[in-house]
Amino acid sequence: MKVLEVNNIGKSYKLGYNKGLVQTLFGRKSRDQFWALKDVSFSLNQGEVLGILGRNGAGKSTLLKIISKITKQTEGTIKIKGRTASLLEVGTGFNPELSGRDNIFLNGTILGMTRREIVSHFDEIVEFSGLQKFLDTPVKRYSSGMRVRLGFAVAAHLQTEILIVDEVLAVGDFEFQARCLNKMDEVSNQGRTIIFVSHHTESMLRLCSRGIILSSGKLVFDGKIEQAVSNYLGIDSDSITSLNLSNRSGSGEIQFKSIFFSIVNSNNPYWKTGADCLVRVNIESVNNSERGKEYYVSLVIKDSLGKRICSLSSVFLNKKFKVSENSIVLEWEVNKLGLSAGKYIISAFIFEKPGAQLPIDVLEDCCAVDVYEGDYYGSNIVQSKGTDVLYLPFDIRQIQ
Amino acid sequence: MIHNENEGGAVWWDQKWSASDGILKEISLKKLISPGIFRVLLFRDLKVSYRQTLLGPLWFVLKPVLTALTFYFLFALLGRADGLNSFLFFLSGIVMWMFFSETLNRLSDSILTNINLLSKVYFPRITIHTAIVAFGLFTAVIQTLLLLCLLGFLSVFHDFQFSFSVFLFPIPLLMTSLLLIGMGLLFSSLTVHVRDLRYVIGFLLQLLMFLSSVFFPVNSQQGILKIVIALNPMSGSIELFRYALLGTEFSWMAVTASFVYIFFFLIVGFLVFRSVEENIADVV
Repeated sequence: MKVLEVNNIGKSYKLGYNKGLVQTLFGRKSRDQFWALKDVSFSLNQGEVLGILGRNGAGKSTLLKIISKITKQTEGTIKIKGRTASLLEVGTGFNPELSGRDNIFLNGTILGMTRREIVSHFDEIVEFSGLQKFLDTPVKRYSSGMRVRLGFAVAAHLQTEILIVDEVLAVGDFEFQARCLNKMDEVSNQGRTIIFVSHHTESMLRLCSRGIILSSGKLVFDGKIEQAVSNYLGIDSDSITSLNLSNRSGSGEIQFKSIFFSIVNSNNPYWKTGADCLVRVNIESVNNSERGKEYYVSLVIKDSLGKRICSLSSVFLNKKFKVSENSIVLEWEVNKLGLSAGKYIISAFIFEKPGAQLPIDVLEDCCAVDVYEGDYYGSNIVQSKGTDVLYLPFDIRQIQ
Repeated sequence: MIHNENEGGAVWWDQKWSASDGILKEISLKKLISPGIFRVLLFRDLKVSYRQTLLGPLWFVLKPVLTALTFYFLFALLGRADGLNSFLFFLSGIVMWMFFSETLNRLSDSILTNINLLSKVYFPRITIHTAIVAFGLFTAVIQTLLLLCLLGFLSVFHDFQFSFSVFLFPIPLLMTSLLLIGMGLLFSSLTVHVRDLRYVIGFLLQLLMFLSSVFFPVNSQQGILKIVIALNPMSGSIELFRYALLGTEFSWMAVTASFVYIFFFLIVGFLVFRSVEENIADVV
C-alpha cells in the first residue's frame, strides 16, 4: 500500500541577497535561479525504510523539508497518507526556562503527538531518557547531552505512521546513540514508514531497506540500500590521492592535506594482500597553531559498504606527533596486509586526547584504497576475492 | 487514523499539495489552527513570562497601574487631570492600549523569533499568532477583572455607580483581539521581507498612543484632531471599554472606524500571510 508519492519535485532558489526597496521597485528582475532539486520522483509503501544518501548540498535536507511541508516545492506534487512527523532536530521547541516535564509535553505536541498519547507514554519517555531525577529542573540547567537524551526520548515515542528523520543520530554520546538505533530498529519493525537521512552509512545499512542517492539535486539511484551505499561511497574514489572534503569537521587548527597509498619499494597507488603497504599523509598547520602541541592521528578503514573494519591509530602505539614546521608528512607501514581484495574507504582523524569531545580534524570517508589480490601466507597461493574480509597469521600442526 | 480505501482499490490520499496550489486552498478553522500546539504555546508564555522575578504575576497589575500613575501626574502638572475620575479614565485606557501595543510588538516579531520552530516542523502557522493574542487577552482580562473589583470597592465606599453596560466589557476586548490577529498577520509577513518595519511599528505605536482616546474622549476634541483620533484603530474599542466600565459616552464614528479596521486587517492580513507563509523557511 502506497503511503507517500513524490511526483517531479523541483525547488529553485534565487541566488544572492534580497535587494533593498529601491532596487526591488526599479531594478530589473533578473536574479539567477538555482535548482536545489529537479525532477525528483519516488514513492514509498507502508513499512518501507528509505535512506537518502548524498553529499552536502545534494538536496537531501531540501527534499525532507518539502515532504514535511516546512517549505513549498517550486514544481510537482506530494501525496501523503497518514500522519507525518518530522525530526529534523532533536528537541525542537524546547524552552530553557521550563522543566523537563513541561518540555516533554511541549516538544511532543509540536512534533505532532496528542496530549493523550504523551500522557500514556510519559513513563516510558522518562525511563528512556534516564532523567527521572531531573524532571522538575529547568532545561537550561541540563547539559547538552541531557537535552539530547530528553529530545530523543520524546522522538522515539512518536506514534505517527510516517517518520522523517534527518541526521539526528549525529549527536549524543556513543552508548546513547546505540540505544537510539535499537529503538529505531524497533520502530521500523512495527510497520512504520521511515525516511532517513544520515552520513552514517553503517546505521543506514542497519535500518534501511531501500536507498536513493541524490547528486546535485537529481535522483541518480534508487534501489537496495547495500547497492546504494556502495555506489555512494564509490562516487568520488576513482582518483585515490584526492581527498573528499565534504565531510570535514573539527576545530581545524591543523588539517589533512593529502594522502597517498603505496606498497614498499614500488610506486603503485594501491595496496596488495600480503604485501608491506604504506600510507603517506600530509598534515598542515592552518592558522598558526601552537607549535609545541602534540597530536594523535588515526586512519579508520571501512569496507565498501561502510562497515568499520579496523583503525590504524597512533593511540595504540602510544605515539604523538608535533607539527613543528608548516607541514609534516607521516608514514604508516602495515606489515603483511591482512585485508582481502576489494575497495576500502578511509576516514582520517586528528585529536589531542583519546575520546576528546572536540577533535582537531575529521575527514569522514575521505578517500578509497584498492586492495589487489595477493599471497598472504607466502605459500605461492593467491587468496582470490571471496567472502573473507581478513586474513590472520596462523599455522596448522598435527599433534596427535 | 484515517484509513480510507475507495472501491477501485486505488489509494485515497489524506493530503496532497502541489506547487500550483493557490493561497485560498484548505481554508477551514481546523487547518488554520492546531489546538494542541496553541495550548502548549500559550502555556509556555504564561509559565515563562515572569520567571525569576521577585514580584511574579503581580506585574500583571503593577505595570498598568504604574503607567497610569505616571501619566496622571504628568497631566496633573499640566492642569489637565483632577482626582480619582481622571485616574480611572487613564487606567482603563492604559489597560487596553498595553494589550494592543505589547501584543502587536510581539506579533510583528513572531515569525523571526519563532524561526527555529518554523524551519524544523510544520504546523498551521497562524497558531503562533492566535497564541500570542490569547496571551495578551488573558492578561487584559485579568486586569479588567481586577479593575472591576476596584470599581466594586469604590461603589461601596465612594460615590461610584455601575450601570448595566458593565456586561458589555468583553466586546471591546474581543474587537481588539480580532484587530490584533489581522494586523499581526499582515505585519509579521511584511517583517519577514522588510525588517525595518519592526522599528517603524515600535515608533508608530508610541505616536499613536497620544493620538488615541487613551488620554481624552474623542468627543471632547474639535475639528481635524477629532477626526484623527477617531480614526485611530484603537479609539473605538477604548471608548467602548470605558463605556462598559465607567459609563462614559462613546463616539459612534470611532466605533464604526474600529469595525472597518477589523475587517480590513483580517482580510488583507490573511491574504498577505497566506502568500508569504509557504516560503518563510527559505527567506528568513
